[in-house]
Amino acid sequence: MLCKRIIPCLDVDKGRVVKGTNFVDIKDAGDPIELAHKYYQEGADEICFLDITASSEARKATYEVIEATAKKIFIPLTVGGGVSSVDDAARLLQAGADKVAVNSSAIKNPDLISQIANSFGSQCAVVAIDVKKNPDNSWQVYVKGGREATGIDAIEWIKRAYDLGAGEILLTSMDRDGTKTGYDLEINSLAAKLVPIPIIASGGAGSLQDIVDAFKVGVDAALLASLLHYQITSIKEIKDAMRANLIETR
Amino acid sequence: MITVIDYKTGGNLFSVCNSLEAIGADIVISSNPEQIEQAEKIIFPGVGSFEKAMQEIKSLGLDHAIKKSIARKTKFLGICVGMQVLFECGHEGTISKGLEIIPGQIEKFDEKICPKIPHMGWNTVKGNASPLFKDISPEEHFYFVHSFAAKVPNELENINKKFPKSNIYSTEYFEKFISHFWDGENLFACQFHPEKSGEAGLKLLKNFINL
Repeated sequence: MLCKRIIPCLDVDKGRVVKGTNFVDIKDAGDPIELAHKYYQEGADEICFLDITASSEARKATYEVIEATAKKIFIPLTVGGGVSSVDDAARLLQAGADKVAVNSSAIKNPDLISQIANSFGSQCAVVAIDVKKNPDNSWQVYVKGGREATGIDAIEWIKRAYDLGAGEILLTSMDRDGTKTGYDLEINSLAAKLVPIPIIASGGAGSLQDIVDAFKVGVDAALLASLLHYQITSIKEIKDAMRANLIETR
Repeated sequence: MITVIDYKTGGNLFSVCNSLEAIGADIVISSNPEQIEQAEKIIFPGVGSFEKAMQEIKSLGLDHAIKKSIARKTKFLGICVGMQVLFECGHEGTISKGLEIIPGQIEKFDEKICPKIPHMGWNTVKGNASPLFKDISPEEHFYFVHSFAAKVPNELENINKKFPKSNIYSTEYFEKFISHFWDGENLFACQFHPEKSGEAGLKLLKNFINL
């Protein structure tokens, strides 16, 4: 049977790992190549780099990090952040990424999703969506690292992303990101039933039970940052908890 | 020396080379038919569509080179689409002919049965006796990403007729499909990506280079 995946996520700024709370208050959390390799050895199923480097000149550091990482870890590598064209995607794939995540640029130019899917296959096209709950219990899509509301309904956007050829949805709850209060199970459960592509839950994991709960509502993968970076738990403990709850894992 | 076939579809060529370098293999990347015909050992990687892969293979004149090298018992490992095109026919895009070495069709997972397509992630591979799985636990998982597959039991009889010594490993993703093929001699194929399957995948590649 197909396993549920555990994906450590490294936010990378100018070649260093950082992690913030609610998308601000950025702290240094280490060397991305070393950290990716450590998670690889501990049994990570995939690694995700989100490049949050603001200036495009400083991006060279990101390509170097990807190249070095791809020579040391032999599991899939997803890279996102600042991807605004097929050329950007091609550069990341050439550097050694297996999948490319698009976020803000896809909102501005939804065709980017189909262009990437058509050029490299749907399996390469991850659409990252940052959402916040509205007072009326719907969810709104935010861009620019969570600073800008778009007025777009998250459910509509997930459907559209799938129609355009997205191979996977990386769904981040900004309300929960970095808070360790658990994934937003409501939107993750809706999303998992909505589209026939994998959903990666992101934002809010604070305990082993939170991760188990996300899998129980039907997501395919769980993205983890603070829990692992600050050694609150380990991949081994997470997988033991999954096994104890009869969730397929490797 | 391992010759890795480059048929210009980009794909996972670099990942395959990275993993081969990590296990200390000597590699040469080639899209030259003569070089491939004379190669000592061949790895044939691939991602992308069946149809596009076949077009590129033919336009580079690699179809005959691949068939000849397999016929002269060169150790050969096809990966993902590099496995699929060894079959007779693919249903991705328009129906297109493959290299017609292994009997069978490459068909899409049935959307009525499979809730999510592609089959993407880690799964087990069940079978026995292929030398590529030497010293690998049957509980190990391998990384898959594909929407099309050679389904079991279609054509098993024909495969056994053509390759009486063949050995088939299968994987379940709502449907059962061939995840590893060994003809009993020199031809190996994997639907999964050993180059992305962690230490178990590296072990499998090592078993191939040590054949």
